[in-house]
Amino acid sequence: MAEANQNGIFRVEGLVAGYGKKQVLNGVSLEVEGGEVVALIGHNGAGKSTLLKAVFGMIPIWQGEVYWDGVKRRKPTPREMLHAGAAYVPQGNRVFTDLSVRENLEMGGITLPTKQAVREGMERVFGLFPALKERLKQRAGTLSGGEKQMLALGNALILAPRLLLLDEPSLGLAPPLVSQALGRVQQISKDSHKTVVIVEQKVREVLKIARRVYVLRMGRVSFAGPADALKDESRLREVYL
Amino acid sequence: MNEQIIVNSIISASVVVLAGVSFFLPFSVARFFHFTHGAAFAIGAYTAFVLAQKVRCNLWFAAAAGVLVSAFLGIILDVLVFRRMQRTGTSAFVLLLASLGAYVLLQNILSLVFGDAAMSIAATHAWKTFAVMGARITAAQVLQITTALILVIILRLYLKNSATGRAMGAVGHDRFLAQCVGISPARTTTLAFGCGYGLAGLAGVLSALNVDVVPTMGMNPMMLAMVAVIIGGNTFLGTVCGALLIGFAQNFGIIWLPTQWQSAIVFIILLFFLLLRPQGFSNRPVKKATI
Repeated sequence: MAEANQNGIFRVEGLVAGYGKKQVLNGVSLEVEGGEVVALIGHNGAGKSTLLKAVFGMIPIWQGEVYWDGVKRRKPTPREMLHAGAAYVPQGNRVFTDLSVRENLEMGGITLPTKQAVREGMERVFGLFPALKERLKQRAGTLSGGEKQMLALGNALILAPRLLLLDEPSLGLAPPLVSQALGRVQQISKDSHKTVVIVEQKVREVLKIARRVYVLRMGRVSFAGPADALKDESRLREVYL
Repeated sequence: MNEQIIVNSIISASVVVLAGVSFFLPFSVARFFHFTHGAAFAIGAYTAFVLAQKVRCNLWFAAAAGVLVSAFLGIILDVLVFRRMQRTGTSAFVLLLASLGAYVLLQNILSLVFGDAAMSIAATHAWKTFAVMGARITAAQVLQITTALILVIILRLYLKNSATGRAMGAVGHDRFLAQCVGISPARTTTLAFGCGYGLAGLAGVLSALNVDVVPTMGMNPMMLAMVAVIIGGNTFLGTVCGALLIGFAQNFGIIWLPTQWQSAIVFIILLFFLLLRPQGFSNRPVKKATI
């Protein structure tokens, strides 16, 4: 299991990033405590996904810094972040659709040093999601939405990360499955003290599992506070709309 | 007579296998039809030709140099041209056109430097013929078949078991997701071009021992390689099966058809696959290997 690290603090300061010439993030700062689940909400195009991509090194950071475990990173790369115990699950539970469940998990663990470590990682994932073990040889593209979410999480969890960056794990799931999927995230965070940053469009559902919430608007943080503060419908509408 | 057709089929197939797997490697990662493969084939052959024939180097050394020069060409092309275009989200079609342009350029450079006349490596010991089951085969052809066979086995193991080999598969399947799991798509693609073009160069060197060296010598094997990849359903073993099918169909076809139909047969097979089985061998590549 991942070492419970009380100091697993994740912090972003004055982050500016974008695509090509289009600036999307206009100086975002946020801080997440170790073991905390923080939700990132906001309208389409507010920069939520861009923020996750930038801090994980999928796109270059133009300005600002990322701090993880007290280490300052100006130009993170995915590999470096993975080695530092962070993992990123891209939007909509993306998996290698042409590969089997087993091959997917092997890819998730491709940065692990030994085959033994991959095996152990897989066992850990099966411990969390026994349903995946029954579908080892099935092509990932033919999995149900819920199973796909488990696999996408599994591809990240095989590395036993202490920080999970999740981009819309509920995307494409039938409404009854949404709270189930988010529940899984909450459980994982609680059981192994993982720090979680979760981007969601299903605002009401994600507020149930998050302790704190940041609202992004036009590439800036427009609200930051405890999730409870937004459970009141009128307050939510105020900061969100 | 029939024995000779079988042996000829195996010889043809070995060329297409070599061209096919070397084409497949970069194609499966970068996912566009890279015409520069044909140039790597010819440049490998010319490098070996110059070193063995003009400089009078050892033939093995000349062959190794051909492989290295072609591999270097693959790396340079990817870093200078393809990587930049792929980074800005250029479509596979535009990349195809860019590689076609680069191919024409490289082929013309070969024409300018060496002329269009056919040349050959005078490797007399490579032309020694053997009789196998009543059929004739040269030492160079035996070498070509053996190389193809060994290469298929090594590449299969490499793609299945090594970290970089599996990274190539991941990038080919989903570039973005491969990056998420810690793979560098850019570096993996460059590696695939280096390996693939090195092997294309090897195919060219082996061809140069059997046939004449001309600037356009890479075109035909490359077209056959593309067909093998398509009917192989863009899988490694499928490509090998496709190459075998092409080799045998070309040689058995001329039992009934005039010889000038040899190339047409391949494209008839391609049409047949595209119309009736567009996924190629991809669903059951191993079962079809027995063709």
